[in-house]
Amino acid sequence: MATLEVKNLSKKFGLTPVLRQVNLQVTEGEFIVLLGPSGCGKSTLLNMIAGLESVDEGEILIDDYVVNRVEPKDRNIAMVFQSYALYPAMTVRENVIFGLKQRKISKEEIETSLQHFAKMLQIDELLGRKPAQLSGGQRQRVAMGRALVREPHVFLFDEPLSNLDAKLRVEMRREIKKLHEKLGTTMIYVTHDQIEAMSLATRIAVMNEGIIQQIGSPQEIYDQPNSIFVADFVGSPSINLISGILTKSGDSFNFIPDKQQDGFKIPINGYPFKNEPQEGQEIVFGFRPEAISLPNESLKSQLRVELKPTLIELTGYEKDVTFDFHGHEVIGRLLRYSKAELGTAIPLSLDLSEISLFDKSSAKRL
Amino acid sequence: MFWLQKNLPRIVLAPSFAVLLWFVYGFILWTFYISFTKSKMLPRYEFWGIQQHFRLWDNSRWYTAVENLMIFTVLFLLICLLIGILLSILLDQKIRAEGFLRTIYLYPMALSFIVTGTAWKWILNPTLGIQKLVRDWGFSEFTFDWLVNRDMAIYTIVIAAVWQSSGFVMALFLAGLRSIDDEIIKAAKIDGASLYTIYITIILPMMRPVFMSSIVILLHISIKSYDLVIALTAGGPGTSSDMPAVFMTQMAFHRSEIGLASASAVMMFLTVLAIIVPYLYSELRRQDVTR
Amino acid sequence: MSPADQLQMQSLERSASFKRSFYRFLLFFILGLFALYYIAPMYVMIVTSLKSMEEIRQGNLMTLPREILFDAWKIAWGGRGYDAGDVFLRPYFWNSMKMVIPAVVVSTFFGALNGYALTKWRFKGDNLVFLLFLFGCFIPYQAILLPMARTLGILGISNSIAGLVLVHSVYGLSFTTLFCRNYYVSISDEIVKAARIDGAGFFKIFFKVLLPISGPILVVTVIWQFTNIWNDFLFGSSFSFGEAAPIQVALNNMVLTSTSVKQYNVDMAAAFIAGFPTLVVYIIAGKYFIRGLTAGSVKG
Repeated sequence: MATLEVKNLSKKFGLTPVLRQVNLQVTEGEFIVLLGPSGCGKSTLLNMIAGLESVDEGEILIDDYVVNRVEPKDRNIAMVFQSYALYPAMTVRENVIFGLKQRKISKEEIETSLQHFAKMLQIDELLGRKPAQLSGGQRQRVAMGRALVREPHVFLFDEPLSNLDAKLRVEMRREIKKLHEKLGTTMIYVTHDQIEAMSLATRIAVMNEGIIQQIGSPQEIYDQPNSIFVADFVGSPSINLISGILTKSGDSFNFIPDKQQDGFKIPINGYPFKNEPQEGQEIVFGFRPEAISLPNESLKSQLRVELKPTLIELTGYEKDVTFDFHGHEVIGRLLRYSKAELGTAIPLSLDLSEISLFDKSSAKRL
Repeated sequence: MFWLQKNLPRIVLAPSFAVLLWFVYGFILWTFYISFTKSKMLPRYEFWGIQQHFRLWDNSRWYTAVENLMIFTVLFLLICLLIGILLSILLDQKIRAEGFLRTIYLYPMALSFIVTGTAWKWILNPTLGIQKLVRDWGFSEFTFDWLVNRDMAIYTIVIAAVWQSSGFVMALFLAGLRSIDDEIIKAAKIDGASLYTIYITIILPMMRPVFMSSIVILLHISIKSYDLVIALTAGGPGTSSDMPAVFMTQMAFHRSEIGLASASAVMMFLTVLAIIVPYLYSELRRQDVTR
Repeated sequence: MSPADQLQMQSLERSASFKRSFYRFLLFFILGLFALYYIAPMYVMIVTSLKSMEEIRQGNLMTLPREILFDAWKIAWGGRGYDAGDVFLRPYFWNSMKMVIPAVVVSTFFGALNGYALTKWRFKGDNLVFLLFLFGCFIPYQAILLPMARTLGILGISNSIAGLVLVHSVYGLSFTTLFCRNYYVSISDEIVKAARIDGAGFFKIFFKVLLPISGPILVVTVIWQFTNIWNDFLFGSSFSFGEAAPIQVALNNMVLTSTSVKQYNVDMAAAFIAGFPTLVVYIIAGKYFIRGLTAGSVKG
């Protein structure tokens, strides 16, 4: 029942375009994450869906009905904010039921649903307190409770976890995920944190400069980024990007990184090109840090290299090692027991089945 | 040398602090003392108990002044708050001409009370002012003589003072409204609250500190009000629009009643003290909590 | 979505857009009405000042002058056409200038120095000292009027511009200290520490590090002091008379004591002249003017 569609949506703040021809289709029960750097238009898009920003051009449809001119309260949505936006002068109870009271719902119904959701979120002990007397995590729960009691068709989240400390953030992230699995309500979630996006979303829409760059499952976004921007934005440490030239020998292509004299090249076999590339085309060769490992015979398509570590950072279970890769700096993620010393070259495997190639001038995936 | 380094901040502050102690706190004590003496034209320093204070509270002109102060304060406070809050909320609705309108609403604050009084004295002029204007519009029976009416003169002071100061309340409240987290208003809109409900139940309760500041400042202005009365009515007709501040200077500089004048100054000082001390106390405690 | 729901949504849409435009209209109507209320006295002042007395008696407050005459302005400023002994503003305008400028400079300088010493060189009792300064902002001046008059007499500067400079410098000190202190509190202590480690002393840090970044608060302070001292009437009328009086006192005397027939046009021109400098400051630097007003109330 609860679908959402955004058609050719555009918005300008003064003369600056913040959204350009955005299209998005959300089906019942999806968890869509709008991911992008600050200023990419993701919050504006969310605010427009909520009805808090007016639409310049295009349409927003909730349950197949154009809601461009419908007031926020009549859109069957609820929203959780970054600052939680709790009403400071009201108690937790008053905060949670404020929306229901505006809709003139009977006292008994309000009370039942308050008790139900307060228990679910474990805030039933806090109902008499004022927001100022709550911890960050508790405020977050109250804000969620306020959204939940309205039993909306669509949930909107505007960076709800970014004011929490690291530990609490992971905890609340898991709770939101559980909540989605339990309720099955359509959710739209804005964040700039790619780990949140990866772990929560059924689909991620990566945004930049007012445009949805790519939309797809977290796995697709991570493995097959369709542009350098998406590849670079998603993943930590970031994807390794090396620019160079594509050459052809016989039927197969080779990649020659820039700044080469020693004839080093990487064979490109079986890469699923979307369009046949050209000989001598300038491209960017990308691979994730996990594509580098200690020599591994089981990889089907791989390149054996010997690289010198220039920096080693232990992150816990793994270590991120920076190597000198024929004049380019690359990062590999190795298991922590891997032997690596500064300045001593070690033999490694580069998994070629997980690479991404981009056209240098258009920055699009090849 | 080290001693000098260590104490330099105090040495630098010392002259200002000495001036403050003498010219503010010393003078206040001095005034207190004069109010306990028989001083008339010149200060005389033999102690006379609280006779001057008895004389003050026996003086019908002082009663008029206090009564006028109360009328003035209540009306001035309420009307300024009402207009200021209304205008600030209206200006907060994303108005294109906001900067321009704000400039217009606040400019009277840049004018002195003497200029304000002079202008309003002319506007309220019983023959050529508003009365004539309205008569020219066709209401030939219209009378507006508050300026020379013993019972109404005090209200003309309210009119001019509201004109001068209400923009200030608007500015204070507008600054307060602007400091409210935008997301709270968004949340309330999604909750389905009407704009009216949002302001009454959510925003205005958040403005408590602004209410406090505005009330204290307006009270302070009204207790000190002197210039406007002088320029507009000079306390008249007769003494009907007298205020404590006018009473004090009249006694001090025209009636050679220095002792009595000091007694009235002491009363004014104590009134201000009763308002300011709790205010500063709560204000500073709030800062300590947030710091 | 069922057709019934669709219909309901449509009616919601219509009522929403109708409400929006109606409220918008009401909003501008009320704002415009108040704008007229605030502007009207200024309009009346200017219009009246440009009329002849004859025309004033014939017309009313709002009527525009048939012929624009500057006679009233000349009289108000320079005194031509008045009887002997009548007041005109020119000398008093300059009196006010001679009083305001030194008083503003002195009080602002010491205020900045005090604010700096109170915030960046904390010492035992500094909060009490600040509190005493702060309280000085609120005292009713009637409580110090008589001792001040006596003191000015003893110092031999009663009824002089020098006396008024002293009075305004002294009582402005509380405000300037408050403003600067609150500004310096918001500036990181670390730049002072860095400067100390670099070997700068108390005064060097003040003049080379803090003063160069004090622009905004100095503008606020100067504007506040200028406006208040220019507009003062209580001190001016209590401690000066005759030739040493500042402009507000002169304006009031002029309105009260014209010996010939009441000349409202001259009164209005004079009022405008007396209000002109502060009005200019407000229009040029309104932002700072407002910041001063609010800084005096919402502290911290």
